[in-house]
Amino acid sequence: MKKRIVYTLGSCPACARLKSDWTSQGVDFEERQVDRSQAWLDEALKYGDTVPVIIYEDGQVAIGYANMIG
Amino acid sequence: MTGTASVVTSERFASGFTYQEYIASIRVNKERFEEYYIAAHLSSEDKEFFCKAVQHQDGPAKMLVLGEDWCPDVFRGMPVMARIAEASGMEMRIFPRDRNLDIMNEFLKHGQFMSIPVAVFYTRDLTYICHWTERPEPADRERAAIEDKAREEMPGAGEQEIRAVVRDRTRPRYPVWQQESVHEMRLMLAGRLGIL
Repeated sequence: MKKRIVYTLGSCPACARLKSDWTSQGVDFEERQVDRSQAWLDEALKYGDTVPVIIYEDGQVAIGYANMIG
Repeated sequence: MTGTASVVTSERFASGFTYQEYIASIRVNKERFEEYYIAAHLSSEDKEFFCKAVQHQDGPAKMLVLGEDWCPDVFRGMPVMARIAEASGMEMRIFPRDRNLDIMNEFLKHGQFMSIPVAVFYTRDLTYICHWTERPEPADRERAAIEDKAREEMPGAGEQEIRAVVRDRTRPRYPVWQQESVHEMRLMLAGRLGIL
């Protein structure tokens, strides 16, 4: 089973909200903080210009969380 | 800029990174900053103008720059600002946006967006002159046109495919957009200082 992936920025309020919600909901996810890794930044840019970028287990991509981006 | 006192004091300005310090501190896109520093070009007329501007009694002796290393507008635009500072003797100090939101709040695009990079020009005694934000105006138009054309050429393509094509077609325009950035900053300062 693939794990859910989320590309984030350390300073992003929407990312912080997402991580808090998912953690409290027990969601299993891998965070890839793009301002810490060139490879993750380059990967994230394939999907969008804004964070969070969510790659769901089935490959679906979503940009933003709870009507928030950045 | 509002009419209230700025958080940018002399001490605060002096605490910013020099360009070399900033490049040494960043964690991503270092190669791209270097690539676009090499690509950034000032004509002899541009150099002459910025030198004249700095020497003006009310001229831009100081430049404050806000940026973040992960942002393409920043790795393209900040090297241009560094070239301007180096060519003219302007004192440039860089502040990572997300650790300096109080400064960012003084220079929000359209009063609401934290767009970067921002180059803020000040006199020697830190009197605000003007600031330039994000990217030159032709870049917005060109990028939109490139995306429209890609969508037209690739009906049914996924967002990732479209993005990849748009990225491949916009990157070669970056050196041109750098030139446009120089041009816009030059025009802005020329208007404020009344020099050509």
